Amino acid sequence: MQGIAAQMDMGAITARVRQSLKGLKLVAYYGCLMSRPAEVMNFGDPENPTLMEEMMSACGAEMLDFPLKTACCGASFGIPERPMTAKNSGRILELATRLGADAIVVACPLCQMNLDLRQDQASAAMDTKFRMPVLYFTQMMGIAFDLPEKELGLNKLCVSADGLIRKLGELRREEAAKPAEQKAKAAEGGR
Amino acid sequence: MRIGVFICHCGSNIAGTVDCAKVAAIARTYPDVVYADDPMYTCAEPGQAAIEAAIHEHKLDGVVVASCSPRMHEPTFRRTVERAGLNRYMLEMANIREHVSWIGKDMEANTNKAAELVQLAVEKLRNNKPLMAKSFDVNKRVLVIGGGVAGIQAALDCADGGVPVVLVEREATIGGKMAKLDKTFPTVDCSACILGPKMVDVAQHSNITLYAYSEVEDISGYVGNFTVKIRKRSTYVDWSLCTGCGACTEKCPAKKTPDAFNELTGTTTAITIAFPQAIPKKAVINPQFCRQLLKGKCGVCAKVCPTGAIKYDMEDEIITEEVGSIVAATGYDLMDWTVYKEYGGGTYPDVITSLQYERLLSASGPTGGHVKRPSDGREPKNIVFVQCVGSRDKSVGRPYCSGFCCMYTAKQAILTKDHIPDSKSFVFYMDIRAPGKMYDEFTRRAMEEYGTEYIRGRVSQIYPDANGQMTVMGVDTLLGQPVEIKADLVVLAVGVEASKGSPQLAEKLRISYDSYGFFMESHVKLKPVETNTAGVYLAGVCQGVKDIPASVAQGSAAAAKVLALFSKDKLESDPQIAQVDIRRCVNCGKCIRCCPFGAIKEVEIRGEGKAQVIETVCQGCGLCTSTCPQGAIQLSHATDNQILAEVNALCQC
Repeated sequence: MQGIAAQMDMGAITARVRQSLKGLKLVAYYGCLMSRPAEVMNFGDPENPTLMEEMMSACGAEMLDFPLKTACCGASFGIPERPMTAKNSGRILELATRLGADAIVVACPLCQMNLDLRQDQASAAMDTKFRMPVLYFTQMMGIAFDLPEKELGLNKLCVSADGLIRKLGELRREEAAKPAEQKAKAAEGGR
Repeated sequence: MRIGVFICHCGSNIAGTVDCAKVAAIARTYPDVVYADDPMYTCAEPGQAAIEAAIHEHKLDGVVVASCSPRMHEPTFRRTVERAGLNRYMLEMANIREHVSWIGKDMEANTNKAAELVQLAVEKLRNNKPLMAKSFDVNKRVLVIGGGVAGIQAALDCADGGVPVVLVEREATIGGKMAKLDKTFPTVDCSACILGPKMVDVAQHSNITLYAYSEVEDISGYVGNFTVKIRKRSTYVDWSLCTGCGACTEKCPAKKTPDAFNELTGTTTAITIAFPQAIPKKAVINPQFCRQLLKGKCGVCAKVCPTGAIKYDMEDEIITEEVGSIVAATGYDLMDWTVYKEYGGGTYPDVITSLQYERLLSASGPTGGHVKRPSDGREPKNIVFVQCVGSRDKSVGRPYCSGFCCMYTAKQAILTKDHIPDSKSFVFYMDIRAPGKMYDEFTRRAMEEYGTEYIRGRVSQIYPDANGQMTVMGVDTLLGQPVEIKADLVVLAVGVEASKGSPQLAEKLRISYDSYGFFMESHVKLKPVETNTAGVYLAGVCQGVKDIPASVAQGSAAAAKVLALFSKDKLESDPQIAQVDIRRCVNCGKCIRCCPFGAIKEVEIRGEGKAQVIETVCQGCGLCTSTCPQGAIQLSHATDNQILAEVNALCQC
């Protein structure tokens, strides 16, 4: 992520957006290791990194303040200590759900796996049923850049992002219709 | 010259590894030494009597004592030689304990080194001259800086002792942090009720002149004769006319002014009287929110004021006061806790400081004493207290303990249960530090009688969900497992740091301060009230964290020091100071620039500029003597000739 940010500033990202994410409410989740140890990772404030928010905002998305962005998802304890991972991931999924997020955006494969592949286990631990798509920030950028869906690997997600794509499509169609409506209204007013 | 030398055994402290009799024998061979002895305890009464007897019997005019550090007993032996009729500066000491016997075990080497140190002292003494202290008048008035409980106590005790007091307070009212508290531990008595009468005493005492809403601008002079410039900040209200009726505060339309007295938990008007018991009870206009001052349109307060006290064109005023002594009692501020991003860094409305919670508990606070949380005004049921936020935490540069947080957190937990009987309080703590009188019993009461749940461990994160409910994640280190508590309100026991502007004031006072801004006392155990600048004393938290009883005690202690100083009509100055040889001085000004005490000034002598030492200000540090390119400044009792005599003796050994 730091590599991409070094290559492209936020203006360059915005310039490549073909389908704005405007209207989508997202939360960025970094997990433990992206920003720590702080002196090695050089990732801004270790308790409150913001790079992913900046990149997603550049794509037009509305980023919600997410206090658990650097909390632990349970990491590799999914194998030796499954209830702990389920509980930790469940806490993150629960807060994202309560905040009304459309999806969680991640960068770390282990976080992605715990939140996505193990979402049913987390649901069971929290005694609820989460339906929270968990996408890599690159997948989100791909959607914004209007890259072919096949290349983005959205079909590899365990929790389907179809709803997210549908919502985005509706948002964009509404937006496209609006100016037409306004024109029509203006024309009516003219008569 | 006739010199007597005394080689102290100090029991076995010195004699254990130094052959004292042999050192005395060697000393007899040094020039001008007519007598040498090796007493068992020179500082004891028989030892001192022996020195006096030797001075009379052998007609000595100088004495060398080889014993411990001069920091320990130089004043003692100076008094001894003075009793026998010698000038007190005709004494030299050789430190053969800390510098010899305690640091080496080789008897022969130690004996030689002791003899050499004695030779240095003898050679220095041969160049000593009698020095006379000068005396000067004392202005028996005292300045107290800061009107918190420590400053109030110091001012009242000085005033009761008959000393005129000038009390300067930065805020519009005296009372300090204590006036903001609801109740005080461990007796849970009302803070305003016990402090209020003292504040009234300050206002009514004929010996106290109070400058509120004022700051110390500049201090010059020295013990007994300080000149202080005080900036009286503009209040835009003529206090000689203001009666404190409050009509202006009722009618002021700028009702969204942040209320600093209530720690920003509520709003007030642009013209305010801080709280009902304020001393002085006078109105002050906040120029950042006053519509008349900002936009030139309003003038409501001027219209409603029955005495015509409002003056929109008022300006700051500088007042000069002459005093003989100064008590600094500038108190503390809370550290900036927003560095704790894991606690929200100040973005969550229901994560508040303990001082803000104190205002929510107080009947004169923004909620009238009903605990309501800031976000939605709901009564909180689950309240989590987090201790040591900015205390004992090296990661934010605050390694010290703030001292009183354990106690007030227990008090706040007790008060919470009194206010909201069906509430539940949790306290995250590191250790409970309650060493005062009735203190530990008090924290036990919070746990046992009031059902406060104490959890030993730190809080790793606080976060709110969409409904504003807070989740506090932490660890219980006694059970060894993580804990999570749902809370309606989180109260942070934020650590204490020195009051804002403390380093700047320390520089005006020419006293030292530590890296956190706390003023340095002269000796951490034996001189906790004095500073290294004569006539300047400390009271309260400005010297280091302490609770109300300790602050009051130190306020009284500072007053005792002032009264002792003022018990004399004249003070003696130390003659060990710099002196200018005007024949050599070329008026280059280097000494004036390097003097840390401002003790050297330029004067005109027969049409030529020359440096002159202000004898009462000079501390005898010697910086100017080593800076002067002409060798025109000599430090009395440590002149170049005296130092060179020592060096010569050492080189010839």
